[in-house]
Formats: sequence, structure tokens, C-alpha cells
Amino acid sequence: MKNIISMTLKLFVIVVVAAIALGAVNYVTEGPIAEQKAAAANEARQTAFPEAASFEAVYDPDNEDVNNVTLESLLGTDELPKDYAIIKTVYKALDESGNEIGITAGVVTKGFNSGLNITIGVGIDGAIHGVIVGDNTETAGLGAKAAEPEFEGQYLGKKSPLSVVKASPGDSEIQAITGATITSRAVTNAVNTVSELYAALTGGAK
Amino acid sequence: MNKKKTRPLAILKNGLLDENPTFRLLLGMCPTLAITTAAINGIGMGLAATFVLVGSNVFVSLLRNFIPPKVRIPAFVVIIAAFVTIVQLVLKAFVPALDKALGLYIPLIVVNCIIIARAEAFAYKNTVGASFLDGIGIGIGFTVALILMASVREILGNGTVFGASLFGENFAPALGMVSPAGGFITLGLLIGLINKIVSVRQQKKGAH
Repeated sequence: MKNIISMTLKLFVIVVVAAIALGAVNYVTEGPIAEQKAAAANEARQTAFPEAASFEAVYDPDNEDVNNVTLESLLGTDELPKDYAIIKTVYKALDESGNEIGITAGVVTKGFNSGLNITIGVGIDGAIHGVIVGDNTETAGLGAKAAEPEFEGQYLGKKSPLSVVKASPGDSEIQAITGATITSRAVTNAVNTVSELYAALTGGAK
Repeated sequence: MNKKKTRPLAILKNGLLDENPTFRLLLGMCPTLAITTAAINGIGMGLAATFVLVGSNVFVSLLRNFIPPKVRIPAFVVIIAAFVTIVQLVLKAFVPALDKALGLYIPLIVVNCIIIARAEAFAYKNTVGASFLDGIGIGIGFTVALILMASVREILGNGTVFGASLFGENFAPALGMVSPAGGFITLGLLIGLINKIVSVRQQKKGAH
């Protein structure tokens, strides 16, 4: 009996010490981690929309300025098209004098695996300004090639709706990555969804 | 485990060949098969695992007289999980570049059975210094094994190694090698090869 109590106590001590250590480390690192995340997201926006001088949050649940805005309230509807669920953030891209020149949207979608992060920039005329494939768990050597400039660059200047073809793409077509049609389609669908959302947002403001 | 007092160099070498975690102990198979599609992943996963292994070995060894034998496994699990989480948080907050390179692998390490196997088989019975060396030896053995396996798969399956193209434009890569099936084939062949090397070495020793 005495043995059991001492054993339990010792294990309890280990757990308590571990919990206190974790709490202390979390307390110290929480702030810097949030800053790093915000900086990384801002960098992704800047690469997805190189022409923009600054960005203004429109929809971002993690951003305190707009954390009560939902996509539903932006579009003035109760029922969102199902595709819109992949859109996690929307930022307005502004030029130096503060005029809106487009949007960037952070998207988390599913390619061959889930957790495919993409940042997409769409200009006010509907042309794609940038597609940046970020963190993903696509297959190395296949789907992961979506993050390479050869694939991302195909979108520049094109307008939605885009479709995926296997060879010789036209003006509204994207050439699939060999062996990774599913990933190519996921990225293209995300670009189409963001373009659609932007059209709906600007249409709604009329 | 050897009963006699082992020399530092022998502990280090042990992890590389005789007790290579991947090819000899067959531990940590799940991350091994999952990430060895590109050689660069092998370095990332290997280094992250080595770091955690050294840390958890040292902690377990330090506490080996405090942890009651009957509850040692839950104690190991708590120590390892806490250590891994702390490493992850600190990397994320202060070394984002390293976190970008290794961040993906760190959560995988919590469930990597090499860590708990070395805590149980070595660190719980040996001094802090020896446990530290064992962590480095096993960690390097794991890293080398991952790089070896990932290089084979990347070269055959993608025509590149560490991202550098080897054969030029006309090479048609065997895509199957970067798929899970190719992983199992590579693993099986490499295990056979390493077993052969070890048994030849042991026969030589016996002949003397």
C-alpha cells in the first residue's frame, strides 16, 4: 500500500513539473509565435500581390480589428456557397494613395492530402496577380511541385474561370503537373473560388 | 544490451550499424516510410529526432533513480511529450527559419518509438554521459538511414538528389518509387543489404 502511494506521488510530481514547465514556456513564447505568424502571413500577401503598397483586413478571424466579420455578413447572405469554406482570410490590396487595387485571400484546401495552404492575389479587373502555394503535405516530387514558380507562374494575368489541361494550355487553362492532376485542380479551383468571391464582393457593393 | 562497461566510441558506433534504429531494430518505421521521398527530408527529420533523442535520454537518465520502475513508461511518455512540446514552442517563437525546415517533423517525433525505446533500453540503465552519447549515435544512425533510403527513392523516382537534377531532361522517373509501395521495396532491400554487411562482419570477427 505504501508503495503504491509513493509511486503515485512520484508520477504526480513528474506530471506537475512537466505541466508547469510547459505553462511557463507557453507564457513566454505565445507573443512571439503570434508575431511570427502575422509576419509570415503578411509576407505571403505581399508576394501574392507584389504591386500592393499595403493591405487592409476585410475578413480574418485571428485579426482583432475584424474578428466579428464573417463571410456571410460581407456578402449579406445567410447561406454561403459551399466552396467558400476554404477561404480563411481576405485582405484588400491598396496602392500608395490608399485606393483598392484588388484582394488577397488565404486559402486552406485539400489537394491530394489536406492542409494545402495557398495565398491568392486577384486584381480589381479580375486578373490573377499571384498564386503562392505555402505549407502543404502534398507528395514530394509530385504534388509538392505546385509550390514551384513554373506552376505558380502560369496563373499570372489569367482570368477565372480557369480549367486544368494536361498539355498546351490556352488563355484560360492551366497545365497540370505531371502525375499530380489532383493537386493542380485543387489549386485552380481555389483560384476560381477566390475570383468568384471577389466578383461577389464588388458586385454586392454596387 | 552489453553488460560490460562500454567505451564512448563503441556506444556511438553501436547506433550506426549494429543497432541502427531503422535497419536493425526496425523502429520508427512510420515516419521513415512517410518522409523518405526526398533526401532533404531525411536530414530534417534526422536532425530533429537526434535533438529530441539526446534531450530525452539525458532527462530520463538524470531521473532514473527517482522514477519508480513500475510506472516508468508513463513517466517516459510525459517527459518526452513535454520535451518535444517545449522544443517546438521555442523553435516557433525564436528560430522561425529552423521551424520552417524542421517544424513539420517535430510533431511526428512524439510518436516515434525510437525515442521511448532508447529511454527504456538504454537511458534508464546508464549514466547521463553514456545516454547522451547513445542519443547522438542512434540519432546519427537514424539520420544516415533516412538519407540513404530517401536518396534511393528520390534518384529513381524523381531523377534528382537533394533537389539537383541528375540525368537531364530525357530521364523518365519511376514515379512508383516515391509512392508508399516504392518505400516498402526500398526499405526491404536496404534491410537485407545491411543484415548481410553485419553478418559478414560478425563472421570475420568469429574467424579470428
